[in-house]
Amino acid sequence: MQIKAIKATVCCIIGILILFNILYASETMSYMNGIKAYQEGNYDEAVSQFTKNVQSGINNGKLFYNLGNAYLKQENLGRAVLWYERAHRLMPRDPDLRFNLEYARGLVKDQVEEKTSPLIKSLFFWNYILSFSEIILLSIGFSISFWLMTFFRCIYSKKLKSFFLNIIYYSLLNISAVLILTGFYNYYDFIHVKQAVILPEKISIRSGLSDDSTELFTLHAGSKVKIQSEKNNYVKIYFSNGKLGWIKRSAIEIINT
Amino acid sequence: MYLNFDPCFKKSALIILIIFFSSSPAFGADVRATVDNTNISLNESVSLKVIVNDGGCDVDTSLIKDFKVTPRGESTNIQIINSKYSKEVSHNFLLFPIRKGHLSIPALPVNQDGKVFYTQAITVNVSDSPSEKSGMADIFITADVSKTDPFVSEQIVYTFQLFQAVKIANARLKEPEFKGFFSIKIGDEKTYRKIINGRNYSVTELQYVLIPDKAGKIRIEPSVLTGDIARAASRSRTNRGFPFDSFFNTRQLEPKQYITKSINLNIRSLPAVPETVKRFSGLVGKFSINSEISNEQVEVGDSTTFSVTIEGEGNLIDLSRLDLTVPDHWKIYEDKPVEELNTGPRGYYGRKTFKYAMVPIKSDDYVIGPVSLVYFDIDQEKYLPISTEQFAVSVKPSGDPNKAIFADDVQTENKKSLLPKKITVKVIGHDILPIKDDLTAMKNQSHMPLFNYLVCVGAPPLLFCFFTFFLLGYQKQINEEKISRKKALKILKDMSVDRLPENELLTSLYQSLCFAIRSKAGGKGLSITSSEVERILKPAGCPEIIIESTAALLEEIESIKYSGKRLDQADRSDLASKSEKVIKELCK
Repeated sequence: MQIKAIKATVCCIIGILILFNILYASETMSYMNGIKAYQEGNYDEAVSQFTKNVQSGINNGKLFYNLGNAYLKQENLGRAVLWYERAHRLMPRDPDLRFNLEYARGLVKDQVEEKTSPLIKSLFFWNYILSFSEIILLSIGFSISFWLMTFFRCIYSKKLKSFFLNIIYYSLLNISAVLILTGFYNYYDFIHVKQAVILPEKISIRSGLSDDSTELFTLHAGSKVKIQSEKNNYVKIYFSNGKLGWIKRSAIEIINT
Repeated sequence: MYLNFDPCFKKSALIILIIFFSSSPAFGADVRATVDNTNISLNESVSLKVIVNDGGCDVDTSLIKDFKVTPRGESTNIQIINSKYSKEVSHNFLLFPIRKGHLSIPALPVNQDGKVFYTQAITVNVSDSPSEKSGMADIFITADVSKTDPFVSEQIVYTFQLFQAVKIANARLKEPEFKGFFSIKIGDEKTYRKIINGRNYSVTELQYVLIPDKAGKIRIEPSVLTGDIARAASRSRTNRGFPFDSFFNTRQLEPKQYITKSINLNIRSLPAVPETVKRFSGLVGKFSINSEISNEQVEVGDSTTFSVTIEGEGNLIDLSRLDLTVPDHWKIYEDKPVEELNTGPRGYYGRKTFKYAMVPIKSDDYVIGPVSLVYFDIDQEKYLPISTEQFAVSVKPSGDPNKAIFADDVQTENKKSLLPKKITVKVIGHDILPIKDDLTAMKNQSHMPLFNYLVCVGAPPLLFCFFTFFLLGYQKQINEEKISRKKALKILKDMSVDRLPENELLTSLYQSLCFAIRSKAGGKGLSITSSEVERILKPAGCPEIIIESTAALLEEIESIKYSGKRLDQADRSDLASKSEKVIKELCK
């Protein structure tokens, strides 16, 4: 009876592994097909294959970068900027991505009116050069190191209180505190601050929730906006100071999904 | 058994019941849709009303595909007739047809309190708008381009015209996006009058210059004009002939939409540049070139200005520099080009002047020019060279020593210039970098959920508190054991076996022994019985023999103390030495 149960369990595990392997193989195949299609200039097919990978739940900066490239070659600037922005959140230091993102931003017709100040970028430099995941992992690592050191300081109170070790200890305290606060800020930003990209070539931003409301201003594909509220398939967007209004939900795509 | 009511009471009850039921609201929704007209032309609109009895609801108009739907609000009508209460809510929409033919307004779902009702389907016959040239149409719009097969970079003009025989209010024009073109509006809108088939129209005209970016077939989407036209109100129409019509005549605004036809263009690539052409300037259109020099007789160090002007129609805006060959021993200072460009009915026209300040540094006779460039002529459809005339300039030695020094400086500078010049690296092409083909792109990089992060960040301080608490407890126990040991030995040391009264001796021995037991096993309390000794000492890892001897000694002390037995000197010494041995053993 016991042997039968063991056999059944082993069979189940092998079955799950085979199924997982098949799924992974099909995803890999789709990815390779996407690369081949891109290199052959078949950008529609490349977009379709990379999109399959994304829909299977893969959340990877390189995949998003490839999708951005395929959309840009397809002359779909809105979606190209969208996927580059998503990739940038996962691998902010990648030089190829930064180059292509700058290139795509250069093609956007609307001038960015609100830029992050260089002072802010210098003061909080770590949040611009590290990805969300990296900040989280580093904050956990530094936090554990700090508490371990605190523990050993309690036990070996005299040995671990030299000048040099004190510097290390207080550095660990400061770095872990800063990283943890940044981590929580990033979670807040991820959950509550919705940024989106305009998808159509040109779209009117209106004063109300209908097509015949007064046209306030127009935006073009690839422009980044902040979403303030959502109602009846319309979203209220903020572009810059004094430039906000309503737009159809289908005309934008949220970056941080 | 029957109840006998008074007939008068029966009548009264019947009347009350009738009034009660007749005044109660109607249950269940009555939903219907109506339109004001089922035969319209392409530039007219249909007013759709979805009327629902009894309360509010949601009307889903997303099923209407043949019309552009614009909501026009709601209106409510409440009636109480013969004590009968009824309420109608009208949801008003304005529908603009997208194409001609028999267009359908499908049955629209109306959601009321979770129940879905449907209106009836309606068919609207949409016919062509009246011909523009017939003079029948009150208002019409047209769009045209000056050329349908231009070359890349050749400018064409897009003209939009609004003809109105009646006034249009709240006019809103949605121009095409001009995708694939560089576009710019030419001046302000023009207004003039035109008679078509005997009818006087006011014409408003807008023009755009379009310069195609790339070759291929491009479609310019239609321009859409929406607005309201004043019409006589329906009441006055029905009462034709009423003498006070003109006085009481009320007019109402009727929304209208007008659409131009889309325009298909075939953008041609420029022909291949012939091998004889060194460099194509990029100009497409019709151009001429001329030049002038301010002074043909100069001294060394004197400046003369050489100007080259290109004039004509076309993309002059794209010309950024000229190929100017400078003779040796001349220093040249290039000025910013001066543009005098205008937009007219044929697009961009005007002139662009490049000015160069030239300073000779050696006396001689020189030839300045000619300056040549090649442009693409759109009339002849071929590349044409144009060039300026030559100027003979005579340079004489200068009598001014400052100018001679300047000339020497320039010559020194020129010698320096024999070294390879540093060139600013310019970007000459634009493209994106290639895709990433490694399989690490299949690895998931999702960040940690917030709850997990809270656990990971919160666990180290919690663990720290836990271990610290544990350590403090342990430390405290160790300290208590040390204190008990010290006390046990101190009592033993201070005790004078011979002189102490018997009772105090036994108490001291008992206390010392208890402290010794506590020093081994920890804990509090100094009233330990012989039966508790094993329970206390065994978990502390004390050898069995010591436990037994300790228990025996404690029992002996207790029995002497409580039995009232008198101890002689030998007994006292024996008991003290036994106690000392056991206590020291426990305190090791």
